[in-house]
Amino acid sequence: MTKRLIAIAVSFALVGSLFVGCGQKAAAPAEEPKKEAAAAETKKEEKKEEKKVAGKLLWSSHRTDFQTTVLPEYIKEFNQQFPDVKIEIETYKDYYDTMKVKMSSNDMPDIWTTAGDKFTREQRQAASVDVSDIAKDYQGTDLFQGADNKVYGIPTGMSATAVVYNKKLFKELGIEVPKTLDEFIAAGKKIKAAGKVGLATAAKAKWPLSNYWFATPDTIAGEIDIKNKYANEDEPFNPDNALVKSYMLLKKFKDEGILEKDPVSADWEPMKKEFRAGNVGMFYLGNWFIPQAIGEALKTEDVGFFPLPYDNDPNTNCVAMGPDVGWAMGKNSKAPEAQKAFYTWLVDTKHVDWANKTGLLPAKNGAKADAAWVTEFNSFNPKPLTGKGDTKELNDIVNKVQFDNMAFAQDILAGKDLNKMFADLNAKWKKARGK
Amino acid sequence: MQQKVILAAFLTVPVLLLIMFLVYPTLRLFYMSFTDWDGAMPTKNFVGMDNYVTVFTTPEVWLSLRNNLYYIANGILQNIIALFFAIILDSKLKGKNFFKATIFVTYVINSAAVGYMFNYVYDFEKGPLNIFLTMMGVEPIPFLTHPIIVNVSIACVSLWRYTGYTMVLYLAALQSVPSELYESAMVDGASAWQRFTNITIPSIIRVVELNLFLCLSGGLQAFTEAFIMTKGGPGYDSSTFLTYIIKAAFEFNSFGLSAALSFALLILILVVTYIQRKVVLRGGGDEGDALYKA
Repeated sequence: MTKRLIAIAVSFALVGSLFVGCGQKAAAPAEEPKKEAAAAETKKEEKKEEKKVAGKLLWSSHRTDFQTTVLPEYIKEFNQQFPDVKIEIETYKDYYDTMKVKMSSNDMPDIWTTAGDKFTREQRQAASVDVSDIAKDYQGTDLFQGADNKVYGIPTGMSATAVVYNKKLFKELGIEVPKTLDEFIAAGKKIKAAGKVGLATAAKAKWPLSNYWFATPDTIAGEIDIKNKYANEDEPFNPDNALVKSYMLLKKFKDEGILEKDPVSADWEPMKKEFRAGNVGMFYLGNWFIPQAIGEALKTEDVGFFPLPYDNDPNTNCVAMGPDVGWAMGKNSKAPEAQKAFYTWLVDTKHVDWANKTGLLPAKNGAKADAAWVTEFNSFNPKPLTGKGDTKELNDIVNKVQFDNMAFAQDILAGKDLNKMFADLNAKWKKARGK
Repeated sequence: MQQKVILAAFLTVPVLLLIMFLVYPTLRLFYMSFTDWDGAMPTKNFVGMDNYVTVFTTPEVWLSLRNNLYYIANGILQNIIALFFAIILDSKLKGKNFFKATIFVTYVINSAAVGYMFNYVYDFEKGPLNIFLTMMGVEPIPFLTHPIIVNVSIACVSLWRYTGYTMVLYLAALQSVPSELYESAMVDGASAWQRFTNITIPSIIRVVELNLFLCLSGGLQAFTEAFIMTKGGPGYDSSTFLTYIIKAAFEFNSFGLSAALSFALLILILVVTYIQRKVVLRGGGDEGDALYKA
């Protein structure tokens, strides 16, 4: 009998603990307004006594490699001015997917990394604080706009999409920086003949191929956001179309044999190592790759950057340029004062330093980068094209078609029939627009 | 009365857990499949059957489902190999524990690690397989880039990984077959093949069914290897149903569609399992039971 009673008691205790667990969670949000109220009070006090900003912040970043180096250094420097602000660091490998989960649960970090192509306008607006007043001094902020056309992030720097090349190898083989497409292919063949990779794609990783969707069509057309026009056409993909030309270029590189032996099996990390070891001639990427390309075999002066010669006219030097990722303030911070203080400090004082560390061109108006590759790159007279980003119409069609540009590029490299692929795409495009 | 109270009290916790972590999410998934939720925004709109129409009219979905067939075919091959090994290891063999452990150990390794490992094995230029082939004077094979070969390559990884597990299940079943049956059959002059088809198979038919179920549902849910090794590439050539679900959710920002896909998969597995039970147990199961009763 007693045993049974004990059993009943224990099981009720178990059930009860479940509810207790739930109850506590439900109670937590109620505390938040109190905290906000407390923050508001401290705000009043601060007006009297400046620099008394305090609070706990969470800085989340996609740079896992900076977790123990650059990020703590910045915080240390910031704490000299604002000793009462405690900042914790979080970095994730699958950064943007993690952020989407946080977004859906309304749990954004105080400072986070936003990206133009990873979130929709509505998502950006819902997750971050409006920074339009700061954005006036920066380029490329169009890509961080919300649905209300306000700016929700400041670019950490600008990135041009062009060719990162191994200067040392070019010198050894006696290759000049190519100005036309024919010269470019000849250079690739020469490097290939020396037993190295002419132009690396790292196609297995998929994302390096996205340049043929985001950047090359604009440069070929010589105007920004050319793809937005396609949203108004039923069957845009004919041979005159810049996007078709862009993928034709990729096909040409493959047919001429200047890529890896089997591009689709070349992954990003191995190709990066190969480049560092000096076994790759050229890589069509953004300038952010330059600091990562420098290693034992290649010194800073051995890596250069030139515009991709997409046709045989030596005077067409368009280069697609866009903001890299951006810094954003998460909504509903528990310490908005401290958040704002750290954010403005980060954006104001660390912009150029971060750009240098990550191989970017500064996005701040008037700020100058002094790296050697920048000087060399500018000597080719590049005409930068900075777009405003995809329109909602284009986005909707692309999502409806379920078009994966990287899978598309992989198919080309795997040798599928390009004409049939574009015919299929035209058909799907028309159908998606019809809805 | 008291007994009922105790029963209820003890059942409350597991049932609540089940509702919290299985029933509720499933219902929620079902609800989500009728919305256009993008996975991040708090708002979602009801779109009716749109997502299900998309599921059935997208060629990539069917292509992905076709790729799952490679895994199912491979699963059947895996069962044959595993049964073969199990029968060999069930006999009096020297060092059979060593062989058992060797075959089973592949199952213990973390599947992500296996994926990365085979990435190197299958590498076009530096993979040991292709280096060996080149040494033999054969053209290197594009294991992970040919539209057909890529599926076979990845399916072979799961074959390599799960054969040991299937074998252990068969081995346990085989050891429970009473040896007198074999002895009396041998006295009656039955050949090895006759003993296999008339004694072994009916005795272990339940385990065969279990293994075939695991093979079918595993084949339909093939994911880790393809996701890690090729991300479904080149293009959609090695995309499986599950990698497509992930893609719909995180690349096309369409959680609604991906919920609809998941639900379709759930239904598909239920239907296929039902048919399979009907086919495999066509009288065979009862015979097996009758054998034990006799």
